[in-house]
Amino acid sequence: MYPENFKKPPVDDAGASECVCSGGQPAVTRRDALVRAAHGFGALALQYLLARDGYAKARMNPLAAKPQHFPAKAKSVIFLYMVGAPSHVDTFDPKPALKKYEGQQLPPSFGKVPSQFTNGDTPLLASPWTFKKCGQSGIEVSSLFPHFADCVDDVCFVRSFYTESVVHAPAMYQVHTGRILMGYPSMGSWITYGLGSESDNLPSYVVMPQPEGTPEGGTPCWNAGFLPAVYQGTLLRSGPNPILNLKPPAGMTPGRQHATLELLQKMNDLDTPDGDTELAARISSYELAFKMQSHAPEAVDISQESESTRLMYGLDQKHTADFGMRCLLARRLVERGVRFVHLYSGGGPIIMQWDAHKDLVFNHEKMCGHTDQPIAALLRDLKQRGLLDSTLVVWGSEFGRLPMSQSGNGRDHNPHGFTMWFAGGGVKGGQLIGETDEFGLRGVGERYHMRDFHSTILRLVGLDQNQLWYLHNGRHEKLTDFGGKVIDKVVA
Amino acid sequence: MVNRIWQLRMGTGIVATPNDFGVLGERPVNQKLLDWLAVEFVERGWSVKAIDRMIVLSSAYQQVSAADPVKAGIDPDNKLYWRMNRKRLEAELVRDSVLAVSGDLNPRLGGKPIRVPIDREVYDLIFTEGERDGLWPVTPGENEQHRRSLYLLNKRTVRLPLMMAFDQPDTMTSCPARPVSIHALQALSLFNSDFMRGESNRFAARLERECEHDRGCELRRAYKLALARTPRPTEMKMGREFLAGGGNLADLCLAMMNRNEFVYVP
Repeated sequence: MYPENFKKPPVDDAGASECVCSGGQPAVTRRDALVRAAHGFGALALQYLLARDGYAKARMNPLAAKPQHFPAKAKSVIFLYMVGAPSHVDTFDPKPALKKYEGQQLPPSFGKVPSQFTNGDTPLLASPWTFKKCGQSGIEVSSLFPHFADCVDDVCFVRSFYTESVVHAPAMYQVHTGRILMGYPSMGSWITYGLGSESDNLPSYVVMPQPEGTPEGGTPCWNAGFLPAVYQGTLLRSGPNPILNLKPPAGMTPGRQHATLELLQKMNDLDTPDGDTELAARISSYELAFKMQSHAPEAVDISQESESTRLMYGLDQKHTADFGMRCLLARRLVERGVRFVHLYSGGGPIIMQWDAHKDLVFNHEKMCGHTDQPIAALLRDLKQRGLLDSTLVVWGSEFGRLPMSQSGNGRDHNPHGFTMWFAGGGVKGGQLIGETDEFGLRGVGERYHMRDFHSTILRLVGLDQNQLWYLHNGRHEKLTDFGGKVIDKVVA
Repeated sequence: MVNRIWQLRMGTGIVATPNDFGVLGERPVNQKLLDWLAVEFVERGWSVKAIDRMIVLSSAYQQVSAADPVKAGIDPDNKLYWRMNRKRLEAELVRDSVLAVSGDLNPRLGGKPIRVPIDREVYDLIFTEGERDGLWPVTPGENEQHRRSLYLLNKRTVRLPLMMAFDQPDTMTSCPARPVSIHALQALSLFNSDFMRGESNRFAARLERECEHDRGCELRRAYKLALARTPRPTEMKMGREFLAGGGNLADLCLAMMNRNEFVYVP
């Protein structure tokens, strides 16, 4: 049933946890390691490292790196998420017919197309922007993305995605977790569960929301659902205290903290019998937490980045500084072995989302202005550092926007057909896959569901959608539920 | 039902998948026991208390959790209960235990759910397109905030980091058995959060008050309260050395509440 190199994912429905609990001796016992290294902390760290590298039982550390189901180039994923839904017909899916039929109704053959706020009886709205053929591939990108336009040869656009809900939050849950209901593990949690972590001192799944606010779906977008809490997304900010509770509260000096930790570990040591992997794992978790204390601030400290790098990401300009910083941090995180970085553009107040129900021009020029240069910089920077081969970059949202207008100059939600793109690790760049009808309303021909989106991402990181499961409530739960089709043409 | 009561007490169910006795569920490890308990349950008037009492009075329940290499070789997963399963406290019990030890726990029953103070980072995750203030009106009064975790308001999009880190289910899908994961965010919440700092200060103040600054008494009392036992000589020595070396009593209290022995029922 399974290929030979595949290790069945740990399954637990019994509360006993996958991490440890049952017998089995690690290859190096705690005491052996202590004696050999002759000083407590180093030895514990050593054993943790051994465990990570697979010398000791993988059960010791739930985040131990695990083998891919089959070879694949991408080791990390950066998901650039545009909260509120950008308009595909104004960015990556040009529709000249909109110009031609501007102001007219959608032909009756398209049927009645109700959306969240409109009934489908508003006139067609031409894109206010022009499209230009870019790169050697000649892929058309709108004038909203002047910087990103130079990257298209590395990018694979899929123009015929569709989703099930016309409302933000459920559609967000679907693109993040595979279901329109909240409570299911996010894609980042699944991938961390499947592959473990390459980093010993940073969380393996990192989330960076828009500072002004969260996406409408909120934390369930990056929660672990029914998977153990260890696989949840960890929020990360720039600054000296990037992770919640990373630093001791005010008044606690580092010296005092270290002494307290040492006391704790000495006391824990007394009660931990040889070969007790569960308690040993708990001791290691404190080691890891305090390694994080120095490594996480280092990871978000960009003082060592060159001037040209800062300029490239647009850190010197007000409109790009914030998103540019998060893109730069994303690169620094994958460089340090973080498995999944979830980066949001938009959130909170409607003015800070891509949700252009009215004044499309104002909204999209602002939001594209925030993200165009930083995204181009991220792709170039990853490429010049040789990281683009091992990093999958995905751009997308919960749905697209309608070719018809709303409030005269905006667009309502469109779940029937929209564009997302892939770049980097294992992706065949410079291609267009799928299409929408002549107005950009619905995907036609080969249409791709969110399940297909997820199974393609899993394929690109070397995971088989059907082997990545967790027994919950009598079901083998999977990210793609009853299965999606891998979009083969995306894969190089 | 008897399987659930058994799971609560023993750590695992006789059928390990309590929501699923069907083809995808686990087989019972001891079907006769399950059937017998079920019949007893009915004959004792469907009394949960009666079955619960029977289980906790059984020799199976009263075993120690110590490992035995020979038995572990035969039944490594302890499916046949040759020892007691060690149990990690559930998230709510971790918080309740901390409050009980510091002397802050308000055991009052009933009433409305409470909102405890949350970190700025958590507050910022409350979605709103409008007004940013007043989205999390904290229940007034520290004593009210120190009620049992059962009374914590559980908003699906505002999860408390300490609860979340210790595998509290998200209340969105049914959770037949909680996972037990071990990871660094638990250490960060339990060692560095303002809540834990506050409670260790109170724990220390309680010890000082009750022991009138007698070090020996403080240490013994700390063990009694946090671990329900007297300290061993090595532990007394360790504690005395820590305090004599300039260590702070509140820090010692914090360490006590972070110990493996504190978060596990041995």
